[in-house]
Amino acid sequence: MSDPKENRIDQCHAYFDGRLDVREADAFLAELQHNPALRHFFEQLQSLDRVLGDMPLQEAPARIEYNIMQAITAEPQPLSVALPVTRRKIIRLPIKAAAAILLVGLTGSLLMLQPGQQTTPQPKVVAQAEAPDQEVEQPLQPLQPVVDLQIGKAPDKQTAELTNALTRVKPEPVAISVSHPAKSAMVLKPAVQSIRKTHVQKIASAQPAPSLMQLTQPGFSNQQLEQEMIAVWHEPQLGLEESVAFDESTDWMP
Amino acid sequence: MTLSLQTRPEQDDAILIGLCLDQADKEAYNTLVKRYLQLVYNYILQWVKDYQLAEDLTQETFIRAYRALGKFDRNRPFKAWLFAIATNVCKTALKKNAQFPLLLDYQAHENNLLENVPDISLPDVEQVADEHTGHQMQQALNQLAPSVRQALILRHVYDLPYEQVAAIMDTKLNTVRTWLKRGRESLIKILDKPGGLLDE
Repeated sequence: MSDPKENRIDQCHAYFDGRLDVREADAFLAELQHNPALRHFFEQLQSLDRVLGDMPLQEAPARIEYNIMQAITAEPQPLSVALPVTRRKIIRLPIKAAAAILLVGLTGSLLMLQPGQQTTPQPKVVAQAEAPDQEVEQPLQPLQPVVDLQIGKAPDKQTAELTNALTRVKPEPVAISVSHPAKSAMVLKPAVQSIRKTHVQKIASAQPAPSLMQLTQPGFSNQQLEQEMIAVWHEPQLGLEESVAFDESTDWMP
Repeated sequence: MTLSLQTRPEQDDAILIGLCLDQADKEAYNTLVKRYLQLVYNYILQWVKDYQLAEDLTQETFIRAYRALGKFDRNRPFKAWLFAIATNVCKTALKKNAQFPLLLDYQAHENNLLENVPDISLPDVEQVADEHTGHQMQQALNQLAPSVRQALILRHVYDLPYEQVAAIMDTKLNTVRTWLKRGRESLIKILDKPGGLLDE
C-alpha cells in the first residue's frame, strides 16, 4: 500500500512538471490550500527551480570558438544524407546479405583451407553483397573499417576499441574488418558481452538470448560465434542493426 | 499598405544548418557555435570538472557536430542533438581518463584566471553574490549521483523538456522523472538551511 505522504509529494512533482490533467491539478491546488507542509515543499521546489535556472554559467574562453572555426576551415564540406527510413533500407539488407556471405565464407574457408596455404585478399564483401533489387534504392558504398580486428598483442585494447566504436558512433555505419576470424574470437566475444551487458540487461522485455557462456566451452565454432554476434547486433533494442555491417577479408589461415 | 519583410535577428537553427549544408556557409556554423558555446562548455564542465579538458571536449563536440551535420534531422532540436554529442564525447573521455578531479577546483580556476588576466578590477557586488550562489549550488550538485546531477542540469539549467533529457541521457522517461524527483529532494535537503539558497 502506498504512503499517502509520498503520494502527495509525487503529485507535487507532477504538478510542478505540468503532468497533471485539469481535474487532478484542481484537486492538488485545493490540497495545497489546506496543507501547509505540502505548500512549503511546493515553494521549495519553486525556489530550487529559480536558483538552478539563475545559476551563473562559467564564461567559455574565447579561444574555443577560434579553435573550432580554425578546425572547421580545414574540414570537408558536410553533405546531407538520406532520411533515416531510406538509410535503414539501404544498410540493413546488405548486413543480412553480408552476414550470410560471411557465414558461408567462414565455414567454407574452415573446411577447405589446408595448413600453410595462403589465400589472396579478396575484395570487401559488403560492397559486393547483393540484396533484393526492389528494396535497395542506391548502390551501397563500401564502408571504411573503423575497427580492424587484426590480432595484435593487446586483445583487451582491441575489445575496448570495438565496444567503444559500436556504442559511440551509432547511427553512423561501422565496418568491422574480420581479417582473422579464428583468433578474433577473443576480441569479438568480450565486445559482444560488453555491449549486451550495457544495453540488454537494462531492457526487461528483451528476449532471453543464448548465453554467451556457451561459447566459452571447448569446441565452439567460429560459425556459432558469428551467429551469436549477428543475433546480438540484430536485436532491435540495441539499436545497432543500422550501425554495423560485417566486412570480411579472407587473407587468413586456419 | 506596404508589408515589409524584416530579417529576423535570431535565425532558426535549422535555417543556419541549411545554409551550412546547402551553401557551404561556414559563417552560419559560426553563429551556431556562438549561440551554444557557453551552454555546451558549462555542460561539459559539469561532466569532467576540469577546465582545460572541458575546453578540449567542447571543441571536439562542435567539430564532431559539424562533421555529422548532414545526418542531422532538421525537424528535431539542434540544441538537444548537440548535448547528446557532448554527452558521448564526455563519456568517451571519462572512459579514457579514469582519474579526473572529483570536484571543480574553483581556487585553481581563479588562480588561472588571475594569471591570464593581469588587469584586475574590483568585482561588483552582484558578481560576488552570483559567484557565491554558483559555488554553493555547485557544491550541492557535486554531492549528487552523476546521472541525477546531469538530469537536473539539463532540465532546470538548460530548460530542456523531459523527452529531450531522456534522449540525451539515452534512458527512459520514467527514469528521468525518478532521477529528477530524487535530485530535487536531495538538493532541497542540502540547501534548505537558515541563510541557505532556498531560505528567502
